[in-house]
Amino acid sequence: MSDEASMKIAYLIIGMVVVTFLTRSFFVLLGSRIKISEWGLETIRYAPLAALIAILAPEIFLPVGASSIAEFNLRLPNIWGGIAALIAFYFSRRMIPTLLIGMAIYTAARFWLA
Amino acid sequence: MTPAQRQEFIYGLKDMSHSAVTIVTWSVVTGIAMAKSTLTVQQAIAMSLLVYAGSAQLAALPLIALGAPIWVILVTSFMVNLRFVIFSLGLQAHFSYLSTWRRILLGYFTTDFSYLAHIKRFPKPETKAEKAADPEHLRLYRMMGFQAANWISWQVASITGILLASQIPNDWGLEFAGPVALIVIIGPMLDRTSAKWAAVTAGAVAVMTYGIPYRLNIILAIGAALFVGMILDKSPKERVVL
Repeated sequence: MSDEASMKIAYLIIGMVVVTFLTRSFFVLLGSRIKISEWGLETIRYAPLAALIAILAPEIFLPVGASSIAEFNLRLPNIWGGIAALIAFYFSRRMIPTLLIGMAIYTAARFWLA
Repeated sequence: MTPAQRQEFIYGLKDMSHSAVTIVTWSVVTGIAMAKSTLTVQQAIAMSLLVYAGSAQLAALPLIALGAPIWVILVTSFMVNLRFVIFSLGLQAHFSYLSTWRRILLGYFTTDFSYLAHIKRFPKPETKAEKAADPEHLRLYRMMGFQAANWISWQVASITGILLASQIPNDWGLEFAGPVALIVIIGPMLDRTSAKWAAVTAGAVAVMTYGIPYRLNIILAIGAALFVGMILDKSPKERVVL
């Protein structure tokens, strides 16, 4: 890794530490001076979900390093591993079976579809 | 620590051991995902020890690999961590008597596990009478016990995952553990129709606009999902759990 790239990671880690402090102590920092309305709390409710889905969906449906949706294709092992993991999670609601089944189908798809 | 405080601290440690299997599994998977990303072992260990927010770390990895700008990664971490903003409202109510810096430190160590354990044990903040009867602040020591057990088990397991995974060849495809772990985080959030539609919107927008620069598709997807969630969510709702 180049010096420039590792400096970027160092800044990123510092930034993420600040984000951890900021979010976990948000109202501690604000004290009781500021009240967030019910509406405000409702609005942010789906933000964590949306952010995680926005990260996950391209990881499952597009090849690594894709530049656009045009690169979608069904030979992508991620799609099959992802679908298998979704089904496993739906029935088990647990991490370990989801992980084992998702990884197994992903690995099988890598060999068969490659 | 007085003997009573030490006892509460130890109760806290022991209570947390009920969640140990879950914490350790999570943490090992997060460690593996970090080691198999573009981070070096040292960077992964630094991130684990300092950032201490598993879902934000998992979300950051693909963005780092794709060279997204720092600010996009930080906005995304903030969004993923917004649940802690809601927790901090509860934390403030429970520990308003502490000095600001102690509350900030307490906030930093308050994860999903320790917050939920505390709220389960003490659903309401102390009343005036309870506070007067508790000069040793025993509830604080219980919380510190939860947090210590959580931090230690998370870090040991995470660093174990990083070191183990760094010994495994890259062509085993272990990096796929990151996306699978995200599925398990997301699953329980899809508890109602409006959440499902918000999720479908976020996914569709993120994939369709994948080609735009700086990974701004993430920001667009969050905006679109919040909009859809807000419009659909007109049903009388249960209050946000504090």
